[in-house]
Amino acid sequence: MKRFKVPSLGFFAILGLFLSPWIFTHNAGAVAGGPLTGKVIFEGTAPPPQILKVEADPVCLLQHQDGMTSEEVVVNPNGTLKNVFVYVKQGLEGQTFPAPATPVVFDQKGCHYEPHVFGIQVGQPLEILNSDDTLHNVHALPKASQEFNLGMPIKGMKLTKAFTAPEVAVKIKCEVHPWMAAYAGVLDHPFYAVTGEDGSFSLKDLPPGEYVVEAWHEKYGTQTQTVKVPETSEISFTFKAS
Amino acid sequence: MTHRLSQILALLTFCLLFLGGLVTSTGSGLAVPDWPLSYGTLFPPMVGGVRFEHTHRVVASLVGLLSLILVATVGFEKRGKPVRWLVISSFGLVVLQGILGGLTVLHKLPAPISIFHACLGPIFFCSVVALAEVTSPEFGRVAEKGGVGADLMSHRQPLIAILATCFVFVQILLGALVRHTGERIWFHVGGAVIAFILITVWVSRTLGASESKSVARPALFLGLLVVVEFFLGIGAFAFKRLEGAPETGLARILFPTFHQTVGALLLALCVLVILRSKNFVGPRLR
Ligand code: HEM
Ligand code: HEM
Ligand SMILES: [Cu+2]
Repeated sequence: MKRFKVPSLGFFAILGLFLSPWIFTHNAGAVAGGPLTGKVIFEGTAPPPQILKVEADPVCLLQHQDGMTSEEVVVNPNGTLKNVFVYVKQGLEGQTFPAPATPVVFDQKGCHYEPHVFGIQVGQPLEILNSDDTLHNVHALPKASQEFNLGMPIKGMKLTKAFTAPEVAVKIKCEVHPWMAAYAGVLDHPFYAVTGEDGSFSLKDLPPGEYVVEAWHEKYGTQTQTVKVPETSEISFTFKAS
Repeated sequence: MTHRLSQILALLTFCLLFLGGLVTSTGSGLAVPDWPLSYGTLFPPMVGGVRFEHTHRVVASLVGLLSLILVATVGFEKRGKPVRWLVISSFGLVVLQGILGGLTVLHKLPAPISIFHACLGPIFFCSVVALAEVTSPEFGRVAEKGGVGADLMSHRQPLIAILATCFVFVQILLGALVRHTGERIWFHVGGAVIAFILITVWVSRTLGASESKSVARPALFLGLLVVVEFFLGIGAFAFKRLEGAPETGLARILFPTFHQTVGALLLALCVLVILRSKNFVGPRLR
């Protein structure tokens, strides 16, 4: 019995060595898939910027003497739409993607939220900061996860929460400052992006397959497209002024 | 002493009802997430929504305290049984109301608790108004004569008095349902028509048969106020529930708040007219 032990250990070691490239590439999902990139275009005339009155709190007023501009609809100079959450809605069923340990940082700064729209994975820590010299209550209203409402009265305060089920999108608001609102796209995979100043998005390392991709906007609703990766690597969504 | 205090309490409670309505109308109910403390302290900075929610809490605490003091004074003054019961039930109601207020905050305003809180407020107010009434010296004199108003036992008036009062309460309940769920507004509007007719009939009969100002005055006030309430309701509907109504603005806050507060006042006036009417419950409460 005893003399078989050493050769068999060696056998498994060699087998593992051969298999390791396959294991690693499989886990990273990097086998010849690709990024799916694109733009979210805005068609029509942009609505005039909405000025929010913030005098209900002197601390906020001090930072926004001329009022604050609403982030509900932000049309970029290049005719694209900011703050659109683009994500894979269907096509990844049955696969699991562990939640990253790195938190998403969600800041209350200048009496508004940064970021205004963001993606987060189920179970991924959401680190909520208060960088303001005033108090906020941070009230998340998910339907699939547990609703929470937390008081953050002190500058520099930090709390960590997480969502337990996918949901697009979860509204987060503050009842102290009724103009404050943000949205979280909660997913059980990492294939999402939020459009920024140039209206572009990129879903990196998407494994080959057929997907339903959705673009979500807080005012203009949702649009979906079906794509085949890697055959298609670029798509665009168009939202029309209402 | 009991009389003075209960008068003050009635006035303070009326203000509290209005302040509570402001909390709901401004959507500030969750601006203070914790309870019984507010942001872990007794006095958080009064900014934004905290101004409404915390003011409501502070005034509610005063109302609670005053109700407790009344329990003490009524024991001291050796008042009759009905008065003692009114004081004790008022105190019980205010404690329950405070707990409901706290619970609705901790559970993030579930409609059932908020509706319960919205209905119990006017009931507590009525209990305090009744207390202020039956402890007044005038009420004593009136009661000796068996009441001053229309003879409630004749003209089949007890029925209409009770029906009208119940219907005002049903309206408060249905209104709270609209306010906290946004649904079933047509029940409330239908109820308004019935309540309006019942009150008009009751008031006109009472005025026709009344022998004294002390019942005619609140009856007349009741009749006028129900008309005002109707228009406030239409205002609340137009500025808040109608499609395309603006999302912000003072009208959207004030119409529903006044509508809600006047609703409670109507209920209290119903109670007052009943108490002052001849040969009914009032004279037996001494
Ligand atoms: C003790 C006497 C109290 C009275 C008579 C009272 C009365 C009221 C009234 C009339 C409303 C408006 C309801 C509506 O418009 O539908 C209200 C709302 C409210 N009250 Fe009170 N209240 C009392 C105590 C409290 C306390 C101690 C709290 C503690 C936190 C509280 C928390 C609230 C909240 C959060 C709302 C808003 C509910 C919502 O928006 O759904 N109340 N109150
Ligand atoms: C005798 C007549 C009426 C009485 C006693 C009455 C009473 C009330 C009360 C007490 C509330 C608030 C409940 C709460 O805050 O919890 C309410 C809400 C409301 N009532 Fe009336 N009401 C009457 C007639 C009407 C009429 C004619 C309308 C017209 C459409 C109306 C429309 C509304 C609306 C829209 C609300 C909800 C306000 C909101 O969403 O904030 N009411 N009513
Ligand atoms: Cu805030």
